[in-house]
Amino acid sequence: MRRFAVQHIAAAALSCYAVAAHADDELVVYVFQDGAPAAGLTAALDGGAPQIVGNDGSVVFDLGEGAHRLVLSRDDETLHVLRFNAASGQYVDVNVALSAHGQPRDSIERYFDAESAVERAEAPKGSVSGLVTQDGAPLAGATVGVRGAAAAVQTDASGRYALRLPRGHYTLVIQHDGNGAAATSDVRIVGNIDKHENFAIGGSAGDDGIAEIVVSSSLQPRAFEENERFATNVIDTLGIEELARYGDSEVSASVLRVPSVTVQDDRYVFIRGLGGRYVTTTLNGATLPSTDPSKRTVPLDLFPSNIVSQLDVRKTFIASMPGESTGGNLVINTRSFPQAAAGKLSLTLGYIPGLTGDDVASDPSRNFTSDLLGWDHGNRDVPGGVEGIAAALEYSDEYSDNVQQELRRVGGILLKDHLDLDRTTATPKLSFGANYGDVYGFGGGEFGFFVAGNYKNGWSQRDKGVARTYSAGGSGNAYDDFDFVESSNDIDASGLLSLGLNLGANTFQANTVVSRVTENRVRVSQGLDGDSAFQSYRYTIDWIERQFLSQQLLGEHVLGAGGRFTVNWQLTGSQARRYAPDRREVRFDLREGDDVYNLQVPNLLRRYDDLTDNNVDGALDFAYKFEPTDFGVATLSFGAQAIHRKRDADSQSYGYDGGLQSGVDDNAPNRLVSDVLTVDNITGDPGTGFAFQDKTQPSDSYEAELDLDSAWLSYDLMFLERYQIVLGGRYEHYRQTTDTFQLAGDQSAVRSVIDENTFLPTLSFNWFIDDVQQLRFAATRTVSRPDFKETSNAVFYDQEFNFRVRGNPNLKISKVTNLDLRWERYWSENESLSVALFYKDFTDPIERVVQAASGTAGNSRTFQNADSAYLYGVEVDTRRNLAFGDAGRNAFVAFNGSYIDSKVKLDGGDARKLQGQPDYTVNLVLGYDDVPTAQQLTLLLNQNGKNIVDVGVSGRPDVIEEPRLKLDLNYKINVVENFAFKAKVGNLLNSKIEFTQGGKVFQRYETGVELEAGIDWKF
Amino acid sequence: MTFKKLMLASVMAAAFGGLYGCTEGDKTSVLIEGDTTTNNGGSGSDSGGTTTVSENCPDWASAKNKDASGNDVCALPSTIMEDRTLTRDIVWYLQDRVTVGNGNGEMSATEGELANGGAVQNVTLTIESGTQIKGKKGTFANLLITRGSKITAVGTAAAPIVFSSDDDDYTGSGEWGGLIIGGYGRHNECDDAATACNVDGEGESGFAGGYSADDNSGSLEYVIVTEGGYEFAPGDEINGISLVAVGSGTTMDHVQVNANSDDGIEFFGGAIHAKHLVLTGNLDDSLDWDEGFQGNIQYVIVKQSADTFGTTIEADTFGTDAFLSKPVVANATFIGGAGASDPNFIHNMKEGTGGFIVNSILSVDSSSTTDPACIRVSDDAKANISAQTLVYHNVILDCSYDSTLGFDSSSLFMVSADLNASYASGAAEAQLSSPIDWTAFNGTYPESTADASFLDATDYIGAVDPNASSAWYSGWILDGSL
Repeated sequence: MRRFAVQHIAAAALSCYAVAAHADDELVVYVFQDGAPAAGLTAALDGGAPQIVGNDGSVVFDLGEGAHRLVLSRDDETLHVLRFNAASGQYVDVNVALSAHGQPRDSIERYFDAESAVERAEAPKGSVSGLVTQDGAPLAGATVGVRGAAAAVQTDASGRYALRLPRGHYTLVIQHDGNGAAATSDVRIVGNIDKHENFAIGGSAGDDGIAEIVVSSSLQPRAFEENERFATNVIDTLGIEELARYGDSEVSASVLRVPSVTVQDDRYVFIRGLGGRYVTTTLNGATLPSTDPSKRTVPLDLFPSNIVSQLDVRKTFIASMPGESTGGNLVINTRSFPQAAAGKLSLTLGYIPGLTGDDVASDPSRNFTSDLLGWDHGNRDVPGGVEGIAAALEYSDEYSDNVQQELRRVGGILLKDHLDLDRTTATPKLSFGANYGDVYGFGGGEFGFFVAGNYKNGWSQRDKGVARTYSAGGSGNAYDDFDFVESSNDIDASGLLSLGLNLGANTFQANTVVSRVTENRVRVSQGLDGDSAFQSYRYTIDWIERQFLSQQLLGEHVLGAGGRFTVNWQLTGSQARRYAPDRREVRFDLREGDDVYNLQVPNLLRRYDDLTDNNVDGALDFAYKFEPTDFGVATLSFGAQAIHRKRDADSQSYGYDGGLQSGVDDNAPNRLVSDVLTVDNITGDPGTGFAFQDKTQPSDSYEAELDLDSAWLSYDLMFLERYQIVLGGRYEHYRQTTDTFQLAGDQSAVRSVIDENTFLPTLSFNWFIDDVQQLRFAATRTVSRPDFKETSNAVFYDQEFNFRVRGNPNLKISKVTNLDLRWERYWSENESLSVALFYKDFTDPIERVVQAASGTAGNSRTFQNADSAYLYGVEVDTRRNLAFGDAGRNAFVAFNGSYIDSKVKLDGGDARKLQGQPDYTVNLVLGYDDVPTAQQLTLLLNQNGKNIVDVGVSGRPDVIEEPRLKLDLNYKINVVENFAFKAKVGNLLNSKIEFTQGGKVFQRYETGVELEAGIDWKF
Repeated sequence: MTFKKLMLASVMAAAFGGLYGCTEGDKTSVLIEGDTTTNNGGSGSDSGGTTTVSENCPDWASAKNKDASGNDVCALPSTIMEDRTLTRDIVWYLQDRVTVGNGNGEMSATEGELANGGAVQNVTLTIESGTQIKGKKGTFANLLITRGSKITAVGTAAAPIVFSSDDDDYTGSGEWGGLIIGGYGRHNECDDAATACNVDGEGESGFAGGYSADDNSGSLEYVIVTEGGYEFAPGDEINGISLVAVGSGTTMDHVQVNANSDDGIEFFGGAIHAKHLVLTGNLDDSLDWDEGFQGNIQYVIVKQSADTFGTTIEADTFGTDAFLSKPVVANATFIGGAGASDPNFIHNMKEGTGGFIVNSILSVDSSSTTDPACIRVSDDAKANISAQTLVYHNVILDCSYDSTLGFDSSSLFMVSADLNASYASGAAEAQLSSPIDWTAFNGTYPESTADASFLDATDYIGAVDPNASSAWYSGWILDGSL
């Protein structure tokens, strides 16, 4: 909603189209001195030649990508300095008000011409007004309209017209039926500026309108219009400028820069200490399926930053958001077409000292050429025939012992290869990105496209790894005590195709997103196995492809006269897939009797996982803006959404049986599987050698479905120019079914069902105390629901964390009441301070808890509706520019931090803080820009407080993730206008990632310092 | 699943004489050729031909084909909710898990009342002496007795009850599951009697545990369990007999577990008292206790498999440290494995365990080429030595003993065990001057759990009395197993 009421002129239809690119006036600056145009001042951009501010108070500049510095002076006296960032192709409007009595004030509006109807409708408005004369006499009844849009007014009896329009570029068309002449004039509307354009229509001199340029201008009331301040809820936005500046390659790394946001495993977002079931993610308004078998959360490393135009972290629930957004809703908006043909190529090389160029353990199935794109080309398929033999053995009653033995022998032989580790050289990380977009205008509309592709191939590591476990007793010595090294070849590929069509009041967009992340990981561990007290050498080999596909159609329509009624819709089909063929687990134990490693054949496992989520999401939203009154402006919005999701998860595991009693030699002095699993030793009879065994568990495979139908309504009233109240409600019908099989016993089918309806009310109240201060309050209700597996009666093995999970069919959905209070203070466009307090009260929160268990069931977890929980915290976010004596140099410091605390009361009276909730989060960004030489230096610092990653089993302490100081340094220089060189030192301190249990190391590793250098070339 | 069926069809279609697999790119054919004789009824015969359906199965069991010897074979249903008797005239077949009672459901804080409001069914499964129970080979077939229900398997020396796989012999391991018994006994995961006790049990057996130390889960007498230990989850085999929180009211006397892939007998909490155990050829540990087990065991012969991974005792307290595992094991003879791949210790005392090993022998197989350590005590159990909750008393250590462990060595004898053919010791130290006085023992070791009314006051060291004319194990255990 608008900060300032739209006042008099009937809003014109809000159209979205661009006129021809204005290549040389990306920046328009209006300067006013005590309310009058400050003609005669000089303005200099980035240390360039000063320009004189014109009679209307304006001056225009050509503007490139990057950081900029604008200096306003009068007779060598600097009156005001302004710093801002701009992305490539962005238009920037700057208004500066100089005052004899107070500080100068400024506002900055940035936008792309290619924006949707609704985006433009939300933009600050300016106006154009003036006099139309014909042959020197005022012309009444002439039509002044906007090309391609419905907006048009007629001049009054004195020949005057006025049009109020969102900032942007327009072509005005002046027509008078009397003589049929049409005159056109291109105007750029700047927010809160009333531009005067008088038109004198000549008599017979031709059809062209002669525009007599601006006679006078007047400054409208000050506006500080920016996304954050006009949102009705608490939003933290990362725009394209910040995304570029922070230099993070994935969305998951970028969101860390937002207050109270933490990221687990480099991919799962926690907002205000809440993750998993408490955070929702939407891509251009559509929900996303997850590639993670045990979580509903979307892993964000799937989304490269450079296909993203804006990331919003919405921390307050509003009725239009998914009902599970307790912690928040992460909104990813992908890029759309540019305002003119533009493209970019970038190339980066990365080097990790201690890894790149070194010899590392690698997957024996690795094939450089066929693995190059991250698609497994059958190298890791289940060996041919093994599935058939496994199926045949299910009907072993039907065969004689000889046939069974022969099946198990052949199965064993088929399965025995590609189990020995290979070695290879870790190559540098190569990233390549390209994008191109263009726009084509046609009568009354335009069509544009944007296409982007990214490819990345490199190695990462977890070096100097330590993994230990501890007994419940207090001796303090490790039980299992392993050292490990992990190396992974990571291959990412992604693409975006966005097609857009703007037809006046209608916008259509089609987005195709393909994103893939492949890891080919080898982990080698050596140490003491606590249970057997043997020295053990183990390795696992993984190939994990995660893929996200989505096809979206989006539409925005402005209906009816006056543009009061807008319609938004989206229809999205998406698919998330995790394909992990041929995980290999191999273990050798050192027997002290002969000091030789023995292959533990019964522990050898080859697993093949395939999980697919298909998601269809359709939404239709309406907004109606009521006629403004003296009291205020009201908007009624409502919509409906339907989501259907289906998951198919399949898993097969194969291995061997036997060898123990047979006297077969399992000595493997060279730690080679091939020395033991030989054709001779695989006899098919566990009594005489090794035999194939199908180790697939009945509950490894399951199917699940969910349907979520919702409808929402929201009423927004801005009144007395200072207050805003938003009342809303969301109704959700949720149905989820999970089908699997009993793990033991008759292995019968198990189905669990959740079917419930929820109503979620919201209330927010905003008080715009004065021009620079705001106070917001919100009270909302959200919901959290169990995930597919969590309600199933079947027992699962969580392969990721190696524990056994027993679902709980009695889980109830949980309700959360949220209270938010936020105060904001703005000093300038990019200097602000905000302080927020939040409190959340959970009824029946769903918690993963330890299941008391015995023997093989040990290390079990289950899910429980705890009695209650609460969480509260405070977060601070500020950014100030630092005064720098030397002209042409800017610096800023941005800081955000939060302190969070929570308590969950469990059944049986225990209490602890919520899992995954850090005590605090801190981000500090120091930026330094040397404008004349086009250099940019950014130092980023991030640290989060301790959080519980897993609750302790059987009286053991909780496993805690320790704070870790992460420091990154980014540097960029524009060598020439379209060519930039960039460099990055990531993880400068090489801080260890450390988990502790009772103060002792549980797991620890380091990933190394990352050095990156690259170029960007724009064309 | 559909794909598997298709593959199966293609495999079945080619089922004649010999078997070949070949893979060429994506195309694979597996050709089975050879005898088409099948194991109808799964009763374990290659000779084929006999396809007569058993005639005398009760209506609550399902008739299988008779076995090669013409015995009736009846398959037990997957759940048994009424008292049943398995008669010796029938071979009882376990197709898969057979669950007796419903006490493995989630219990409320009141024993006997399930969390969902239902009542626990107290079912007794009676097995006549001489009865054979056979699990389907290559499956996790097992017999599960749940809380509140009982097994009354009372054989005789002449007619023991035998659990095995459905093949012809009693050798082999990991061929079927085993026997799992859950009770209301104490378990150190449950330390607050006001809250429900539900310990997720071994072998996906559901919940067990409670607050009744004297829980009675029935009787096992003259029972043999062999060839079990199926690997039911990757890396997880099942024990021959798993006792989860089984209390002291239960009887266990003359029981053999042979050639199990996992442990022989594992006690998860509970306080069952047992006598006359023979644990032979088991591939993991023979005697294993955890999670607060405090029973009494007397007369045990352990002979580890030559191919073992395990030790004769593997002992833990954890679970939690709410209360220790500290059973009394008296008159046991432990013979470690002989293989080069054996661990080099005979007892593995770890994870905070306590225990009282009394009048016992630790030795190794006579063919052994190594000299293993007698006792390994992990760091977290060492404090129990000085606290006198981990005690070795009157023990012959015919192995390498590390005196720095700090046991009271006055009653430890580092001499040759000198075992005779009856596994009795010829060592002079094996003859005690007077019978052990268990009451006095409890006075010396206040933490002892010895039950003088259960334990015999023996005057010798080892499982077999050096002065006995015959060993107590002879005549009923599996031939050749010892």
